[in-house]
Amino acid sequence: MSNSDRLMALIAVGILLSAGYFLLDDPSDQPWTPDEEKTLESLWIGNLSQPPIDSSNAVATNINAAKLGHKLFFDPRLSVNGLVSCAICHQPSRHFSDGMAKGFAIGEAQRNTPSIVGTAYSPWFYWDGRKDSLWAQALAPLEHEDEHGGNRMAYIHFISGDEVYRPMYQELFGDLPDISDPVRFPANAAPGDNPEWNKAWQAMAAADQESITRAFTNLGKSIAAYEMLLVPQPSRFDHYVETELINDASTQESLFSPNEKMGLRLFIGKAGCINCHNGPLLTNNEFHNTGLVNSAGEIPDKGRVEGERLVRADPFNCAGRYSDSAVNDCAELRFMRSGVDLIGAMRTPSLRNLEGTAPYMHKGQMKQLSEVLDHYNRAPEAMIGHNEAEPLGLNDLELRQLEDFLNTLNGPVLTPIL
Amino acid sequence: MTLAFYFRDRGLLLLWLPVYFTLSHAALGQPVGAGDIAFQSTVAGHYEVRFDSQPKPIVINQIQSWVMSVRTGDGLCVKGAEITVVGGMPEHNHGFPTAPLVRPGANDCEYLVEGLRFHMSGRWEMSFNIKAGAKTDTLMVSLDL
Repeated sequence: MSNSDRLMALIAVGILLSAGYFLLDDPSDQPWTPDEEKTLESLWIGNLSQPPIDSSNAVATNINAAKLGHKLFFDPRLSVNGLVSCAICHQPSRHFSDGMAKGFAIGEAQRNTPSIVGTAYSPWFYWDGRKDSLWAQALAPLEHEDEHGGNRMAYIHFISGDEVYRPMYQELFGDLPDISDPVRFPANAAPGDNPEWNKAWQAMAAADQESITRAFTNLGKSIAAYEMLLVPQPSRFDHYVETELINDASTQESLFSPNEKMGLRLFIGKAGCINCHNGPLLTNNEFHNTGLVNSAGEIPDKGRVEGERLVRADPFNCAGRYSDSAVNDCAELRFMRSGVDLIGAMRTPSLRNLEGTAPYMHKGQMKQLSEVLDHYNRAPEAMIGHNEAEPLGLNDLELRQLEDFLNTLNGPVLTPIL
Repeated sequence: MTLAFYFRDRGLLLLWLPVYFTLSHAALGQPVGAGDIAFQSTVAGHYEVRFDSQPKPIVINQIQSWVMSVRTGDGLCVKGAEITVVGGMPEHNHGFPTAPLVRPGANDCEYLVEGLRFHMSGRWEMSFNIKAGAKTDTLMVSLDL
């Protein structure tokens, strides 16, 4: 046997031993490396700090504002028919989502109702980020014809005439406008699509429009103060990470099945989910086109490219006159970018509490997590724009393991006592 | 006998090429970590740049500003420079999630890089174009987050 043949034989034996190692050894038994442990810790809810300060809302952390917002959130009288509260679509029992493909109140919404748990951490709101604060977002459904269907003038009449709300409001924001003159302040008025209400609004003096709009924005700021308090609580995954951080191997083993551990390995490794689903809320709150098919019969959704245009023009944005920020505080808005890659891009959702927030994606296109995972595994061509994702090449077992891991991220929601 | 020669004869060299190029690429790159971007030199050597990031170390998913101090090789402040920055993640084929800008800072040496945000962990490549008078130079920064 020549030297080269001996070398070849040695290499062949090495390859066979390596193959045997990978086939026989169960990777779910492998301990986490220091780098992997660091990655796990980055997803741990223990690293979730207080929500960022919303400088556009002076009462964002005011407990009395949260109390007022809490009442407003659950009050169906804040609607044109007296039947629709925020909680119709953001149901506490469903992690503040509604279980439907698209939200339904007075009419059907254009998109899926996202959970609002933990959204105080996002710089952008709605799937396309067309609002840049919780309070600006909270105002929009109140006047949308398919949601609460009301108008700001009617809401201020309601608050002014209510013995509970009026003092709560005035303690926070000072006197409500004097709206006793029905000529200056009709029963219904608002800028927008309703021709009758819009006509009444246009007939109002600019100063009166201003005082009503300012009072209306204060309602949004109070609702936002309540929503700021809705944060997810630890899941089984978080307990798992804690056992890793304190080297408690025996408890750790009892917390995750081998498949769940393998799913976690895939999540932070080969599957690359962590690229966008990062941090303790498992979202980067950024916008990505992932090639989702739209609802049947609808034109493709433009996503962030439209949201960017809308938030820039929004009178309730951070730089607007109703914001409590100095313009220089509005960094997200000032340095917001546009670009063709934002066509069809949607905001990355949190992966916490997926059990209670189906169906998934911006149109509620997918009922099961397995459908979502299959979609990302295939990474099909986008209907509009370009799909950023690449096919993952995962086999059926790996997809099931990923799904098993995602189901370890369920946990309760902290609902504050106010 | 070299490894390349050995495997070339048996038609197996192609199997090793991806490994070879991966190792070569890693050896050539000189990324800095999230807490270690303090001192950098421009490509042509016209300027020396110091960064002070806020927050420190650099974190993902948080809009941030850096102070950038620009001096010549002999330590003089580079005043009135026009600086632009572009960047992104070549591995994922995308740019910054924001549109950062650079403007004059607190003194003649300093500039403020505003509106930076990194929304993924991994390798970020940043290119600062620095134009002061007749001299234009580029600072390349590789950042591993």
